[in-house]
Amino acid sequence: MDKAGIARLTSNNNYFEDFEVGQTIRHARGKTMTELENVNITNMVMNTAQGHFNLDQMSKTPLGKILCYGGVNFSLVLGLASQDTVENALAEIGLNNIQLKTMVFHGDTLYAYSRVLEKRESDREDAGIVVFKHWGVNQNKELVAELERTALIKKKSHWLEN
Amino acid sequence: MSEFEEMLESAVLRKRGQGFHSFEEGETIHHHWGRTITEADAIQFSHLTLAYNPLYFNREYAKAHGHPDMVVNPQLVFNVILGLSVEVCSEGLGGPFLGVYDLKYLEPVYPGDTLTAVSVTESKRESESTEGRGVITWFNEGFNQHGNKVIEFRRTNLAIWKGAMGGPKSKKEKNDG
Repeated sequence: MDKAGIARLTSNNNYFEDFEVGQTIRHARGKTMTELENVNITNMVMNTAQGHFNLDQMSKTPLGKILCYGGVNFSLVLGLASQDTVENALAEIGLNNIQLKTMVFHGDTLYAYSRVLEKRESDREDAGIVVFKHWGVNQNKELVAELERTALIKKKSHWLEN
Repeated sequence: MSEFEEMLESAVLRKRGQGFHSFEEGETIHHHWGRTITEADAIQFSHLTLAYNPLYFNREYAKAHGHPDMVVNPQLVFNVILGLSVEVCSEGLGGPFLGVYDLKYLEPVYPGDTLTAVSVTESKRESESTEGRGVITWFNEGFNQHGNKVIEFRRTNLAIWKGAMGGPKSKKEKNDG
């Protein structure tokens, strides 16, 4: 795969040069959380907390239903934000200040928003570091999760043929 | 009484998880099981969470960026390392996860890699204002089969051992060591 072949596979508006500190993005797609996401991912990562997959037990608590696992909630928020922010990342370097604010249940729909917090050069010429803050919001516009993601993002100057 | 009825009455609940009081600051916990990450895991996770970076699902694209194979979505790596720690570090606490901080993805993980999880109990503090509440913070690390650290993070949980969330718990039911 040559440079042009690589560049054809991703968008051309989300390289390092395209981000500006303070830029705030409302992402186009939402996704409804179902058993397919919550129960499936909770079980595939061997999270053994049965509040995320035992409906009988949860039906006897005041919540009355299965509670979605927070790791799935914020992973979905990061996913919803990914195409506009890290589609052209060479690597995701880290996360910080991950906070879960509102409980999520099967049938809730999550949407994502992102803001560019910081932009700086990296130790390689062809990519720079961008720090994003992401917010996950449910169908009632309640804040579900917030977190920061740092990624190493390709520069147009090196990866796009002009 | 049928054997079935007798069995239901005599079966002893084998509890899982441990409570606030059985954690000690500075202890190292080697978590159970480990997990080999397959290509199916990696792709399924990325697609279910709509994580659209071709490094996570296009092998040729990943190879063109110097990787030997597609890269496992780092959020799957995080969730597996956290998942392996849940039995010890969450199931007996009765309280929610409060936050994750200072998470670093240190090395790429590839399909076929096997991950194991270690937690160090960094601090535990009983609430001064509410009886039966406490907060524990662990430093978590995930390693691959070569012993290289692929991830580290701090994770904080609320522990509740009186008047648990989700309904009152009797003293007998709690699982504090």
